[in-house]
Amino acid sequence: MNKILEVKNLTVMFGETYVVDNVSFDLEPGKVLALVGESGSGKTMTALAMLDLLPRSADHKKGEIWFNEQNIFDLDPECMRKIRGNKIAMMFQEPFTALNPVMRVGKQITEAIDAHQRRSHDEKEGRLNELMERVKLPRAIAMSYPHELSGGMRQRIMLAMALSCSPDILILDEPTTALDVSIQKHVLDLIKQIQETEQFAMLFITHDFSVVNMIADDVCVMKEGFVVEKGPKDEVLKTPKVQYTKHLISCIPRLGDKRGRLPG
Amino acid sequence: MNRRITFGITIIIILALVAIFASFVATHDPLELDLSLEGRLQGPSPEHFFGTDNLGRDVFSRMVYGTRISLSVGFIAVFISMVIGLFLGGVSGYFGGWVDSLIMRIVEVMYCFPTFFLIMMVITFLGANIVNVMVVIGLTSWAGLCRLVRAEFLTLRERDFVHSAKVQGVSDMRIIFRHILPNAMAPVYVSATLSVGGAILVESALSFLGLGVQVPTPSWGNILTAGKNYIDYAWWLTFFPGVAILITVLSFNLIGEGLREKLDPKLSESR
Amino acid sequence: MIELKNVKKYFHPRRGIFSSDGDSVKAVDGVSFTVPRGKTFGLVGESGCGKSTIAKLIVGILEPDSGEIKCQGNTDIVFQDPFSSLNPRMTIGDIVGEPLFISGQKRNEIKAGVKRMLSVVKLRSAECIDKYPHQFSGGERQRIAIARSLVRKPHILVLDEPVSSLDVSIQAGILNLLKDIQEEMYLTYVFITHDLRVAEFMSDAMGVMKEGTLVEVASPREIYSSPKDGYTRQLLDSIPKL
Repeated sequence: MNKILEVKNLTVMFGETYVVDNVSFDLEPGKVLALVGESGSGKTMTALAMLDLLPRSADHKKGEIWFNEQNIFDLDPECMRKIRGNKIAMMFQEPFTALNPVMRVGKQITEAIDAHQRRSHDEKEGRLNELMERVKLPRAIAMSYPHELSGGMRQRIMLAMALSCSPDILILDEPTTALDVSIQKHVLDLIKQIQETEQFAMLFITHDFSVVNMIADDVCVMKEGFVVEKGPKDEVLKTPKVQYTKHLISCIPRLGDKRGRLPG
Repeated sequence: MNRRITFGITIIIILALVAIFASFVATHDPLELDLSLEGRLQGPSPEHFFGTDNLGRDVFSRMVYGTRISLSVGFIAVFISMVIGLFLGGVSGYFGGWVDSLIMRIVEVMYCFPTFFLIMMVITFLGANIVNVMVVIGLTSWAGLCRLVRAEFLTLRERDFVHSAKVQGVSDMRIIFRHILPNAMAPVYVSATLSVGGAILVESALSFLGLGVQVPTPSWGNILTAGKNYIDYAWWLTFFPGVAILITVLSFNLIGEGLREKLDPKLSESR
Repeated sequence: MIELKNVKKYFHPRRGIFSSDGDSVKAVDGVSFTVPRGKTFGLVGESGCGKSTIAKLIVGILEPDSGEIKCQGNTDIVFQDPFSSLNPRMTIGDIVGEPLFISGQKRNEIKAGVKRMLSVVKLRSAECIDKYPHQFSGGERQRIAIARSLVRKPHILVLDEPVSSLDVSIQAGILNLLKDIQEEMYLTYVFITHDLRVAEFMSDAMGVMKEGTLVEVASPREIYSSPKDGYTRQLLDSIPKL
């Protein structure tokens, strides 16, 4: 098994509180790992640690994160900047706040390229065309400002931004939570399709097992900073070992549900 | 507590105490003349901390009494402008429509006049005394605050807790005063604190031009005026009131900036 | 019960100096439905389809341009975002007790009413009555918003995406709670959501809305087993399978 990224015994503390407690998992190229948990489970902090972007109030961090035979925590800030957005990219939840409102979205997409690679204007234009095509948006959209676009379109723009430097690892933090169910499906299908063609490793953060089912290969369930269950998706979904996982799966209403009440 | 706020408030409290207990702090009668040749224009000394002026009056004592003028002008003028600004801005933002248009046109007219000349004109007509100065500064400086409050009201009135209050039959007045106003106050406090400094400056400038507090009543501004003719050989006459104005205005600005820093993140956190 | 007859609401964007766009937006364009007492009507659609406008029309925040809305009894509303629906500078006791206060009740009556409502939504009143909204989680805030909407003893409750911003397990708790409350207080619900699964779980009848009109009204069973409208089918297809 070849691992592209290895998180070993990661622990993050805010003062005396453990936000992430001894968490370990691996990412493999071409595979999607879903990090599942509710708010407060530490899933976002885990992702931020992978980019060395933990807030300053996180005063203690322990453990190792190995990427390309380097421990991310040992790298100097300049090396980390070169990895961030370039080798490891991240896409955030809020399509309304994560984009700069006064900058054309096309410019925002190519910004990461400017930060990491020396490219001519024409090369960048070419790459922009490619990316717009990949996220299935007309090229003309690149000239728009964020407020002119719908939530789903903005989410595609953010995806294009994350993909701009062809990262080895893509981290997605609840990318579809703010979207309607119907648009969510389109965005998820698109993400999955791009991931399959480009074969990068993906860490998908969500609280919703129905989304996990659509996109993941493996699942890692977190609760209060701990990993409570880990395994291949089908195994975890069909035969969850831990009560908490069972609960997370069963509390989603489904169509044709004969249950009068949901567990919880 | 924010260090800037602590510093600013300490200075303001000291000044306020000086103003309130002026008769105890002052070492001389501020109006007592000493027209003897050696009594006039003395430099700072243990007898006269800040020296004496051209009429032999003790500058330190005059400045102590001047603190009263400066602080009360600052506070009362801003209080007047706050009441007007909050009321008109609130009405404008909450009700909208023609009321809003009317108030905003008035605000624009206010903006078109160079305020300082407006104040000078009105004072010339009404007569120069401290009450007129306070009232006129207050009446002419509410436009900015009014716009600020209106903008806050415009966003807050679309928040769901306001909708919810409306659904539950809460009266307009109660929605304005209980639901919207408390949430709109943070920027108002900041702006009001900053304007106190501004009002003190305007008073000093008016007094300097002879349109504010009339001699022999001491104010920082008219001490400066008296001193300007002797600036070459009696530096203390202009230096001390200048520094006093500087420190006071600076303190209010520090409090204002500190408040801005302190109140803003709280607002976004509670959202 | 609630009855909507051919309700229309258009928004007219103000013609500004720099915009030539004077077309009105048909937010609600001829919508009719009836909800019998004690039942739940699920209103489903994507964002921008006009479903929240209907919510605001029913509780009277907006007036319809034409058509009729008849509601028997008091109406109240619960909004989607429990972070913006509670006044950040009021305590929970004041928030929930306000409708009682303005109707002129005495202090101890208000306090008793607030306690009763907080226990209905399964919050410990002693622990939260003096706290402010930011000290609670999203799910707890939504319970507080529900308690506030119930305190005037309404007959009709409009729920505008009440669980859309919550985690799934918190969502389940709130949905169960709403069902319990409905049974206990014999309430009529209009439940607005973009999630067909949630609507199906909650409703006795459902309406699918698109661009200001209802494209299909049927029982939840019919909607998921034999959808008549193409748009309904499209929505059904987009639901992630578990």
